[in-house]
Amino acid sequence: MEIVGQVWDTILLSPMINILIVLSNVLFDNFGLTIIVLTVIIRGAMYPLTRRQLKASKGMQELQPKIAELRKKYARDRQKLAQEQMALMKESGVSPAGCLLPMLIQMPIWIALYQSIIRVLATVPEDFLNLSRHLYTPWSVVFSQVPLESQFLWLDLASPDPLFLMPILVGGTMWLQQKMVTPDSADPNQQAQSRMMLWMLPLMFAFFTMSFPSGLALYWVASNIITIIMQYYIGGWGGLATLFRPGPREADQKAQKRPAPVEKKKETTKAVDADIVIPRESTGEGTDDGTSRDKREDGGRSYPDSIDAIKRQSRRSKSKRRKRR
Amino acid sequence: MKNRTREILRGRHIIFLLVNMLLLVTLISAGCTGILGRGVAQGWAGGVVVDDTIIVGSRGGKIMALDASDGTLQGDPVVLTVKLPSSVFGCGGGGTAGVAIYSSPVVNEDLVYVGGYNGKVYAFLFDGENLTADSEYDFPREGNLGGAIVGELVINQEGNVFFGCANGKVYALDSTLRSIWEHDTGDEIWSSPAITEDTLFIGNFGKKLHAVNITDGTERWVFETRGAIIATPLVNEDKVYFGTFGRRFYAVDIASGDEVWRFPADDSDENRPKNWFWAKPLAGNGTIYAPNMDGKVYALDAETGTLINQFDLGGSIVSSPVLINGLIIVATQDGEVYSLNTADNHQESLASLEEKVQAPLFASDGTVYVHTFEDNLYAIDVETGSSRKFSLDTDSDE
Repeated sequence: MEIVGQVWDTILLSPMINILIVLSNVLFDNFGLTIIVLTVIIRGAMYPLTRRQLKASKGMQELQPKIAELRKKYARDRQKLAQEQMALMKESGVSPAGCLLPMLIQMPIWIALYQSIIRVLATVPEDFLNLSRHLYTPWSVVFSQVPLESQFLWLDLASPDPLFLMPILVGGTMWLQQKMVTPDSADPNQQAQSRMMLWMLPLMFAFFTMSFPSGLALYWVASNIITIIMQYYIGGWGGLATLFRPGPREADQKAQKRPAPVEKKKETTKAVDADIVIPRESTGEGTDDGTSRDKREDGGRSYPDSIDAIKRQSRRSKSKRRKRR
Repeated sequence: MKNRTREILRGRHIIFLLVNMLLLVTLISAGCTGILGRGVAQGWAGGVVVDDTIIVGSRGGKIMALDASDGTLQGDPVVLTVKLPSSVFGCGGGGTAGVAIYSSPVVNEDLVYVGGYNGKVYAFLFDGENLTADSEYDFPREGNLGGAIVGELVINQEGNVFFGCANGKVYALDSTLRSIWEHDTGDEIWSSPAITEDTLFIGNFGKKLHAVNITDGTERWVFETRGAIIATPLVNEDKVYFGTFGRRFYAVDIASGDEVWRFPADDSDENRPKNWFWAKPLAGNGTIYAPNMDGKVYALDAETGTLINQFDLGGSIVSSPVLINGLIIVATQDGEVYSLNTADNHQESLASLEEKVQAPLFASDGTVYVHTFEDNLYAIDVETGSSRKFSLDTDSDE
């Protein structure tokens, strides 16, 4: 275990610490600026990996409707479902490893950067003794540069933000970043998960930032903003595009909320969670209000009536059509 | 509803969420415990010997009096506590904790003074055996100075107390801990002051050594270097000597504040120290002994700064050494104790404690005392090298 620690220190942590300190010297002893610049440099250097990861994620997202169909189709045959999913991914050239592998490669570098910021922002005497073990002897500047200037804008980078602006920024940027990649699913279960993901992590990070050194918060904000920019260039605004203009799903929801006349409600097309789609009658009014699209998309949640009701509806429709003829 | 919950729990996203939550919990616990490198101030105070009593600051904020002959505790230790600020995650938040003590106790007549990392100076009554706390003497009386006290307190012949604080100020207090003057150096101070009859010298994080008039706190001169100054300066004859984080050691004229020499003279010197100067230097036989965190003690000519010898002790030196009977006693961070003979520059191993040593050493009557990180106090006979071990961890006895 000790060897792992030594390897980690030698390969990642010590280089990162020394680079941070040298960079701080170059950037006018401004450690806040140093954190931002180093985050940009590291994220920039890892751009090819990030690009691969984001593209793979996007590919996976695009496959979600097809995968959902497969799930429905092979709900009772898990083996077949797995086979079909694999075949679909192979056919589309997308693999889950494509998302995970670049992320796994980048993780140690992010963690090392995080650790190095904490170490360089030494505050107690014990921290300094620990830091001295990581400094490169031939690099004179790293010895004389410590302790670093920890004031940046209104922040003492070694202490939590007293104004609580950093927690808001961390949470806000993380929410935007999550929103961009949250798939616009029609599956209510998926929606619930996505909503939870969208809010949970940003809130947690914002909460944690309240008691973490603001230097780390600055790193998170910078990192989130860079990710947002990268995501924009690779996949556009993603989920953010629907933030200010209602997408189809929002339109669906609005339409469902709209109060309908009682007699018309009786005539409303009903569906269950099945592959049966019964067309709405062409009454002229409200034919294209968004509810006439494929009802399977919402899993039938808004159409809870019984099969008998549907059959009755179907019979009524048929007889009306016959009369018209 | 149950089905829906089950469906949600089945989702792949929940796994991702759980992984992220686990990562965050790890980060937080690591942030609290210091696993990720952010340490907690624990203190490493030395002590003082008064007659047959050792007064030492233990870890956990205790000031205790021990019988020097057998290490038994005299009376109850005085415990310095601090209210912990409530934190969002309870990283030590709420409740009280022992004050970390880096500043060794110092004695003036019947009062023992100690500086706390909580930015407060305390005075205790000492009747020759027992210590008694009296909050009437605390400085400041209410609250704290807004910065930690890491360096030592120094007492002059009049009984006034001088110290530097991490709020950037140097303070002069009378023997009852009432303020005489304060001087703002503009940068954090962890260094201890060194004093002459009329001048106080102290270094700060701002890479400057300040010479201050000891009577009124006005500045005499400022000497700028290329590294932060944490090591205590040494006043010897007409010069003040000190090492810096810039891996340089300086001799400065006390009167004018002009540089007399520096070691190494230039950056390309192959003997250039490889780490920071943290421990206090000592003088003996016209030589300055400057311990460095690279594990070496540099013996420099006091007049010219020429390197006379370098003692490679093999371990980082943080603990300030002591001079006893012409011997410099110095301990490395990994617990090796050496004696360096100032007469012939002979190096000899004195003891191997196998415990971490960061606290300044202190001595009395041919015995050197080493307070280890494990909260043991070793009394080592300088002549024979024999040692006795006293535990300062009173909690483990209870």
